[in-house]
Amino acid sequence: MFNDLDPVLNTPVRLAIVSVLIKLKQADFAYLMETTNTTQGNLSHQIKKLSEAAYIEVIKTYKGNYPHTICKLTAKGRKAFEQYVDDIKKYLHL
Amino acid sequence: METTDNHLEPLQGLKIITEAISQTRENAREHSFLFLLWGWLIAASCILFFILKTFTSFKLFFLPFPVLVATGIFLSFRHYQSRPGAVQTYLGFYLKNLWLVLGISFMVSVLINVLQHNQPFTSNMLIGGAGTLVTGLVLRFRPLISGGVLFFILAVTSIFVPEQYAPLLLGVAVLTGYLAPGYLLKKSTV
Repeated sequence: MFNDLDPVLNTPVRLAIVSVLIKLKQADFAYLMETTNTTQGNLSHQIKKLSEAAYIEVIKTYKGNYPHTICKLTAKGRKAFEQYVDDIKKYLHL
Repeated sequence: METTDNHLEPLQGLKIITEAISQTRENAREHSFLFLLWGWLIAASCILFFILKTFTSFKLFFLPFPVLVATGIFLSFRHYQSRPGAVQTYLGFYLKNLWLVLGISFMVSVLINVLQHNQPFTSNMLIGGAGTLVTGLVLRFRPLISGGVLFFILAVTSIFVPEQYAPLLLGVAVLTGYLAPGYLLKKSTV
């Protein structure tokens, strides 16, 4: 019995963001851009989608005079990621 | 990494998860500045305290402690304000809070001992030993584990030596059990 893969997580950048955040308490925008190897615009777009799904919490602060965006995985996001991993394991017979 | 919203095949998803998780770095070493700063401040305070008390008639021989600890608090505060971390790992968060609580314990211990007209060095060696040993165990870094054990040994030793040498023992404990492993940790790839 295969479950449909979560549509929020089933895109490359969003899955990469959540996979990075699962190991961390929090990470900023620049770090996520470096680790997910994507563009600023695309990362902003994907962060917005994850935030709308309440999978991540976005905190806007300032670093000196510049805006500093920090992302944290929520309990809902963690649960969704764990479910996603379980689901793809079934697809792959792991 | 693709920039579109295209959907993933299960195998692609697994590959992304594996790669992203393996790229996530541990940043315990990035906090080495504060770790080493506090080591030098405490070691310097102990040695200055010993020299002033043993070799001079200076009445405010205890002054290095409040002055250097206040300097440490100011520099730590400024460090955190000027460099909000890009990444905070759970381990880094835990260690930061551990040392914050131990720092408070140091001050409470000094206050209690001073009020009871005792020297705080033995209890401070136990607190420092606990922090160093726990840090070594969670980072799985043997020099820090040995350093923590050395703190405990010197804490016990301090009750068998003349009282005036207790600050010197704490200074030695910090230099050998905390600072030396701290520099090894900074250079290591843990």
